Amino acid sequence: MGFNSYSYIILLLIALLLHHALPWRHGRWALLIASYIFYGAAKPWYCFLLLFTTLVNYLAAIGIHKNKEQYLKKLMLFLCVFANIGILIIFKYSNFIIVNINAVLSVAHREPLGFFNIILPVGISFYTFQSLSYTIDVYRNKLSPIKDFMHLALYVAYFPQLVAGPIERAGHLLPQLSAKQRVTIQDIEEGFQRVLIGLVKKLVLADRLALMVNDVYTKPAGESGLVLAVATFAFAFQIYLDFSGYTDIALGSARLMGVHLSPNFNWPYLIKNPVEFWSRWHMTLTSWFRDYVYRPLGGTMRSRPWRTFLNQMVLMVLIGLWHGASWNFVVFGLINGIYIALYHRWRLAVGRNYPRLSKKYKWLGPFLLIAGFLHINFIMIFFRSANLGVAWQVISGIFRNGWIWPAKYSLQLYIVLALIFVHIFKEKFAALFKKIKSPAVVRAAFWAFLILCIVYGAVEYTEKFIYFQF
Amino acid sequence: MARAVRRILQSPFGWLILIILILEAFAAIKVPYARQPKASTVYRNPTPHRGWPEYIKGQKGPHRKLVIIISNSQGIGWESARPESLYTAELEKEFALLNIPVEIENWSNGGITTPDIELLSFKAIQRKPDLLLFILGYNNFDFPPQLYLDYSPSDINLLAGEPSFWPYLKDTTFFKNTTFDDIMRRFLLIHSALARSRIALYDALAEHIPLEYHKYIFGHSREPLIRLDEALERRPRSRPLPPPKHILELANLALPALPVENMRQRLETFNIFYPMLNKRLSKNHIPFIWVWMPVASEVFPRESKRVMRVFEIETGKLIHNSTAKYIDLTYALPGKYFYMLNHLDEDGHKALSKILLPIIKDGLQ
Repeated sequence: MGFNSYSYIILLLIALLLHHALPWRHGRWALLIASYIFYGAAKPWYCFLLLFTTLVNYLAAIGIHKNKEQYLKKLMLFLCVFANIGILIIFKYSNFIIVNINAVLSVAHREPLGFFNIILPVGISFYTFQSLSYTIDVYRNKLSPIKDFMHLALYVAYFPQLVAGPIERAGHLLPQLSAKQRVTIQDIEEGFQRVLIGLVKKLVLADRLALMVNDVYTKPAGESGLVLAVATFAFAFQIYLDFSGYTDIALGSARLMGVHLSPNFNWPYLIKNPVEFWSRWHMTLTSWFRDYVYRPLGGTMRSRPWRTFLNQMVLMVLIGLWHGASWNFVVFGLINGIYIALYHRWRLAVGRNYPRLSKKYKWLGPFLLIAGFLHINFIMIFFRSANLGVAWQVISGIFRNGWIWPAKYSLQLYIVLALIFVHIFKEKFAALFKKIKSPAVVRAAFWAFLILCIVYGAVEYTEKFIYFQF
Repeated sequence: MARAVRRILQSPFGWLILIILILEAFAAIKVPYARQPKASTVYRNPTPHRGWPEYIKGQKGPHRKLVIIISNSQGIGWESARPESLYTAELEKEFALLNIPVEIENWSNGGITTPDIELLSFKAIQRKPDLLLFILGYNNFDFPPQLYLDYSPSDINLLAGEPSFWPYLKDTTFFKNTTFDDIMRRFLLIHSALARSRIALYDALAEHIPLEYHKYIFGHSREPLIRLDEALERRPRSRPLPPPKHILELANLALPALPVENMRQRLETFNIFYPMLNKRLSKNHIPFIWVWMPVASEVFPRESKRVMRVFEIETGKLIHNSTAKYIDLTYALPGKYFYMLNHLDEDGHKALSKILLPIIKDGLQ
């Protein structure tokens, strides 16, 4: 069930009604049932997977907490991580691994292995990581294990953020779900507005950009360089609006229940260096990898630059692979890793002179922003392309295929230009947004405007949310 | 009361409901075909090749016979014939030459499907014709869904606008394989003028936007809808036989993969509709004939022929089992009369009118 469907609106309304009308404890159960209905709507067996993940983490956390011996705690954690990541590997990466084994076997003229007939359950990467963070935090003594299984089940399956994040930490979300939250009128207004904004981002803008991007990236060879370049910009905005639209709907839906989820985006295309992107884009995933992978690996070690480089590359390749099982995403991660490592080396070389240099070369700011935006677009080519061959066709086509502009894509070009404009004048737009908050009639007019945008502007055959596939 | 009103106006939600109601009322009053059509409403075709034709010729004369022909794109001369050269117009000329006072009303509709025919039958009964001719064809069984449903008064929108028709549809396949979201969408189309006004807006826009832009603006292509003048201009001067390569390629690509399953569903729909239609028309004493449309047999893809034959046999059996007339004209015309696989050129329309003339004459007696 997607957020961009009537079914979701009905489910959300029923869940809200039950949540507010029933006594608190029963309201929690209603939310849990709604979450399982939400997840099992496409394939009911997904629910068993979700339940299994919850059960494993529940038992592991209790086991870790109860056992005094360190080696037993470690063993419990290892088994739990093994079970969680094992499921993820089976469902998400097994066929990718087989493809690569078969490539090796074919060189040795051996019989290839058969593929698994597996459908990737939506959002498996999200809830696996979220539930793992709970168990790891218990292991690190940051949290006490939760006794009420229902609360943990709700934390893992909480439907507004189940299938595409934000990847919440138990320390942030569990207390909100396991204690009664006061829902204010402000929560309801903010939540409602956020849902509407999310729907406009997804249905009107992202899906409309997708009409061009899908066509161009299916057959890039025949397109002109200008079309390929604009399609790449369009994809960068499509994926941002798609994912941030989803996140807005998630945050808004949770807010209607008085729950505050973590923000996931902060103008990710307004960056002056490659590190900044990952602190603004899918922030909850980056912080997850930082806390549970990068730091345990050793993080940044001033005395051992090669080890730092290796950690950064491992981190970025894992982030790349998290997005999908293909070499594209490995390359996507590697390029990011190289950029970040180079930037890191430069920062270390500059050392204490950095504040002075950044002041002196302040005028370079706009150029760095443009360079940052182009850098993101470059890595997005690997994200969008079906394989490395397509990515190469796009990159080479931009420079080789001439710069003819077919007018049929003009609407998408205008949307891209408008979005660049919004990014440039983001402060002005933010100020305008603040003004909308005041009189009730202005706010209602703004909401009515958003509703009209959805009624008249939504693309009929809407795309699935891109991040659902992860 | 005043306190309640004040409270509502203090809340943005109260204002929002008020604004939506105003917009809804505005849409209901102002926007064309945002109002729910009634069975007696005459639809005017805002686009040349889709939607309801201007089929009502006024009151039937006292000593004149009225024949209504419900056909598909062939009947509107899709891309290939001017309105005055269509077989319906030719038939009228033929009858005039024979000095038989007959009026032909052409109720053809591009991409007409069985539910369309069913709906039109309701309206046809109100006209009390002396003969009703249903031309069956490709659209009654083939795959392409009406991709341009969104901004034309096509099947679903018409059905959605005709609540009295719903009870007849509830058990058919037409509504069986729908998702909850489809049901909600239709519910909104029926009950919200604002939702329906989107169709009006898209239709108005579509008229002014070149066809090749449609996919990237509306989200789906409106490729088959070509203005008559453009189509006539595009038409090659010499008759293409076999049809242009690209059409053949397209046909071969699309049609061999014609899903038999889908054909079965459409057949099932037809099976459900047909007895209802038969009963309704017989009850109202309206004579009717089923005709299977002619196609360019030489170039018709083999698989398509096979699927069509299955459909023909099944429908044929069904119709033969009833008392209605069923005439198979599938291969009645040679390929030289076709502009495309199933669209006739103007000579083809003339030839078809000559074939239909004795059939209609016979039916009127």
